[in-house]
Amino acid sequence: MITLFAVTWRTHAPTLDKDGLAVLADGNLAMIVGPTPSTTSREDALAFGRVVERVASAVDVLPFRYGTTAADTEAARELLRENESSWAARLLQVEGCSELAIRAARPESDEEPAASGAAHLDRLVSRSRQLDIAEEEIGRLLTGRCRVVRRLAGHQELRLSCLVERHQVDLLRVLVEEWAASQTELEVSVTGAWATYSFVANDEEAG
Amino acid sequence: MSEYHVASDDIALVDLLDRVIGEGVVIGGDIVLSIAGVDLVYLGLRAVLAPAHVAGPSALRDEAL
Repeated sequence: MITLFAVTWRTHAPTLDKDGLAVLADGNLAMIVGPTPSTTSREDALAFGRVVERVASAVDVLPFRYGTTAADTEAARELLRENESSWAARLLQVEGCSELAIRAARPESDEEPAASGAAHLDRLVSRSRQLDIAEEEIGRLLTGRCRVVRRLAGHQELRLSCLVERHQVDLLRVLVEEWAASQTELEVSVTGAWATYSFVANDEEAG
Repeated sequence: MSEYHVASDDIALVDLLDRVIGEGVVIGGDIVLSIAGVDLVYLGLRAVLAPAHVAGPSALRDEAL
């Protein structure tokens, strides 16, 4: 069994010569594959992510979700053949782009426990509104500078994934961090640039 | 990881793990991670790296279902 890391253009496929990684090519696409660890752990997931990030720092990729495997290299090549048109189209959609991750949340340690159930609900509504306002304000910063912005599921926090052309990454980070500096009640973080994980899902899965 | 990371290392690790586990291309029927396996990865992450308001609920588990 082999682990599937990412798909890229055949003509842009990197040279990989360590950690058991290999590049399988078929048609216009290539797939980065490697051995499947016998365990599932946080460290394994991070190691997977670091391989993808290493490749994505040089070329456009479609990262696979951690845990995606094929029986062997021939099965992986078959996947490349079966999905060539779909994956090529998705590669074009993220061409030249990276992903920035923005989080905003109110520190829970700031507040005393709510005095009643009603007060607790009021607090939740207030936090939700605060995050909606933050989303609007960040959205104005991103307008015209991001190809796509997705709001991801979050529990009393704002989580945005932004598909950004690589040459815009530093500018957007600065803009969001400047906005964050003006926030007195929210903790804000910006991380990336990541491989475009949040923008390559199957159409039926895209949120 | 890329040269652009400027946030704290812990938050960056959380964001990378969120993406590695919960996003990316999925091939129907080929995800090998068990639900319990995802739980272990994510809960382990919460315990070690993330304050509760950062980790949030496990939408990842919902997706895995």
